[in-house]
Amino acid sequence: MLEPKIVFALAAVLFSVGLYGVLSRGNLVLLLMSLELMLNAANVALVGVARYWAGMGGAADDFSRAHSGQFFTLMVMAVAAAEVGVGLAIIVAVFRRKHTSAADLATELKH
Amino acid sequence: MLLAEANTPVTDWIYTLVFMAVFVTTLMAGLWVVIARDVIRAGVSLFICLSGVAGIYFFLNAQFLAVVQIMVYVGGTTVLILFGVMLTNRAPVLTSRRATDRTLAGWLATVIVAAPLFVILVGRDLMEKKDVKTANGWFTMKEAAAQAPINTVALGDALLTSYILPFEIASLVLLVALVGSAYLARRREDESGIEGRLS
Repeated sequence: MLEPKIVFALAAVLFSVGLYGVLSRGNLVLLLMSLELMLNAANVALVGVARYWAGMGGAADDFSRAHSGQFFTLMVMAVAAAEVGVGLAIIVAVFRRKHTSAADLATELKH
Repeated sequence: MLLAEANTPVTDWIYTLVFMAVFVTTLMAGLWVVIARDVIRAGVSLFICLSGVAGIYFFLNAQFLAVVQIMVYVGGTTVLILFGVMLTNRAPVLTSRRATDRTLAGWLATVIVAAPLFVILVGRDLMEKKDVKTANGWFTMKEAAAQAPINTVALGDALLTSYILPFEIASLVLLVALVGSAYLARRREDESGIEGRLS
């Protein structure tokens, strides 16, 4: 049977890797990819918690406990889909204007 | 899980083997997303990583979420990102530029965030001087969790009864995001973009 700590370790590694990617990559598309990695790490942790929380005692409450984690994951997926759509539209708009997808070069709002 | 319920040594062994394969694939693909210098390669390894996460969902008894993961992430998001790569990289060599100071800052922040996570995960077992293989929750559970009452029918019921409001709000968010992204990415008349010059 699958054990909880392995799942959480996977989530932790994926989250750290994604964080490193967000902070160190210069390309906007690569940045978005690393962001997806972080969101997925959080999802893995949520589903893992839902799986192991559900089996622990208390008969009446089992239903909502088992599903709250999975429901959270569904919501995160919906928001992530929206985020990718808007993010890519922004990246395409930036590329149209500046002919580059380097994150360092979009500096109009800096002073 | 059918295999887990069968509970013979052979099926247990196959179960563990398949899980380790999915686990390692997910991990390596996730690492490669950040390591790869080529944007397309990073996109493809993201594809593999997200598929692996779907496999993990199957193992976690979340079959519906696994299918949703494959449809939304693997089928939608990855394709969208690859479209983005193709739309925004006109140079023949699709490499990303990397600044050294940014890499250093990335390492620093990652260590600051990751270290507590792993201290929490591993630290307590180490402090109690337990071997990882016998420690609770890594490879064995002292109290085996009962089979969770998770199935797709119950999840659907929950979505349309207790969680109906967030469900509807999510659909609204998706609609707004759709309209917004179409508005953002539209071609403007006054813009001298590459598309304008080509046509």
